[in-house]
Amino acid sequence: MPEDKALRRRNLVTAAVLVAVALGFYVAIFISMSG
Amino acid sequence: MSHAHEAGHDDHHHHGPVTLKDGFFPWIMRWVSTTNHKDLGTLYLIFSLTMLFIGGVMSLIIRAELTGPGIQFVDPDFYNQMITLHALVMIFGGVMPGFVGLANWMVPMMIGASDLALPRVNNWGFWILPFAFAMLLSTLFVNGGGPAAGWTMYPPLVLQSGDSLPLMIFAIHMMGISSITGAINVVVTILNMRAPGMTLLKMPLFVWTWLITAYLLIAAMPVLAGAVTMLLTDRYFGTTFFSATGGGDPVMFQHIFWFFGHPEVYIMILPAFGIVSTIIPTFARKPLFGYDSMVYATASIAFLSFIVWAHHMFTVGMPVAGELFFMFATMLIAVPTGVKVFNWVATMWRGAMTFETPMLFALGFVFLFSLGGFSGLMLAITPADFQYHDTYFVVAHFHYVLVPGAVFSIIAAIYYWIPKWTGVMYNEALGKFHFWWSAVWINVLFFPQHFLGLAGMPRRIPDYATQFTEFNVISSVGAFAFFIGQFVFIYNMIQCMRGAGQKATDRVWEGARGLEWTVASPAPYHTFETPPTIDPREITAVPEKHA
Repeated sequence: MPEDKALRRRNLVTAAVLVAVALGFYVAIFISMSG
Repeated sequence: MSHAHEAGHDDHHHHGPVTLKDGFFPWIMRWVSTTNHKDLGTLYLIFSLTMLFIGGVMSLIIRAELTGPGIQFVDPDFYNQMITLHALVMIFGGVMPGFVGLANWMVPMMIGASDLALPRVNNWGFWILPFAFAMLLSTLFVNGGGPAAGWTMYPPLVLQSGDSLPLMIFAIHMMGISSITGAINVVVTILNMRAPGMTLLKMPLFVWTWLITAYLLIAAMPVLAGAVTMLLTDRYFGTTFFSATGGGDPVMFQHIFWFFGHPEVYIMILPAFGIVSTIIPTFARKPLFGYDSMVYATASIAFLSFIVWAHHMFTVGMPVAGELFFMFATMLIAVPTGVKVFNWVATMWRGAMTFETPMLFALGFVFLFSLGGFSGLMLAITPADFQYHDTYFVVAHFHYVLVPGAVFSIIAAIYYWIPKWTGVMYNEALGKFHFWWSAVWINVLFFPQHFLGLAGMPRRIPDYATQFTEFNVISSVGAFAFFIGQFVFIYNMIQCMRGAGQKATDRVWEGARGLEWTVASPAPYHTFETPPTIDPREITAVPEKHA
């Protein structure tokens, strides 16, 4: 199957957003605890 | 060997998977380095079943100890380790990887995608798990033994653990990373890689429930990671997040833990709803009743799961307004759950029903999960919870939703799809025997625990007052009988994997609809390399026309 570069980029961007959300939740817990 | 390896490498890319005939080392390397969603689905499922058996053995140690008042077989501290590890192994090693395995196998095939969006991340996410659990179980052999403070890890008790604490915390971080990578993979695949025409509201319910579960995982698992990281720094780096002497608050841990822990409950049940919503229409030979309402009910349950956490801790003391809020919010969950049960029953109404093994397990799920739901409603009532809290009633409740709930749904899904995976039908007579054996003994195992709890027997104790003896003995007999019956299932599945049995057709089940049934049985190693044209008859989200 030929590589679909646009799809690959879209997948990576979506994944990056979700990683950022997960890290955000992790950090938010610490911030909420240090208040 | 190098020749075989080369051949295997070639096979991997062009002709199909390496088999044992290509040599043992290339075969092992295939499984270690595979990025194929079907291979990884198989690995996840085998891992899950292994963990269910390890956790099952731990539960038998617990039930053996509880066959009589007083200390029977094990040291109380070891008993506490079994209680803790049984939960961690079953939740993070058994149920969650079981559902991830099913998602790996089925989500790409159900939406017409060639694989998951991030195949190498998928490989990494799986192979973290055996190391995480090896580390967790190795704590049984370290100074002070395994973790013994319960899977909820409440401080300050958990901070008194021996050397197991950092190992358990590192293992939980690894399990969390595995879950989050799996969840991200599922979301990206579903959002970006559906075949043309597979719009969101045409997706099979299993895909929908997994999409919502994946969002729950992404939001909930980092919260658990944060909580256990803080335990680690409290123990080793002088922080006082959960110590009142340094200005911290041990009850805050409970809030954070259950902010993760309640969504976790739904992480373990939403995919089960998807499985049951797939199986019942097949064997009722009718489209699912109320497809749209199923999707919205799933989303509602997911939302509500984030605002009910404190119902796990009514007895710690909180303002009455807080207790009222968490009580009513919890009861609200019964509404979308009721919608689901209603829709399953309505799907069967006037259907041309047959009762093959997957359908039996799905029906067992509907009935017994609902029983667990009802006892959950009882526990949601704040003043009543003061009586039930930390008793065997709670143990009965969550085992009803997790064993004849989540575990039955995984078993149902395996029976339903294994002809597609292996190309071979399982032995139906053995399957039916497995269901009836399990359905009887699971109730012998867990139903008496309601009575024990209502009579005041606390959970997490190796000893008890003599008046609790009879129900405990009945429960223990049920545990051993239920466990033995599962070997019938394992035998049946191994026969399928060996190819021993009647050859499966591509459609397998007369009433089955969906893209996964349009490919050959066994499913080719690579499917939907070019996106399929979707036949409208394969769309399971058909509006109900005969209601």
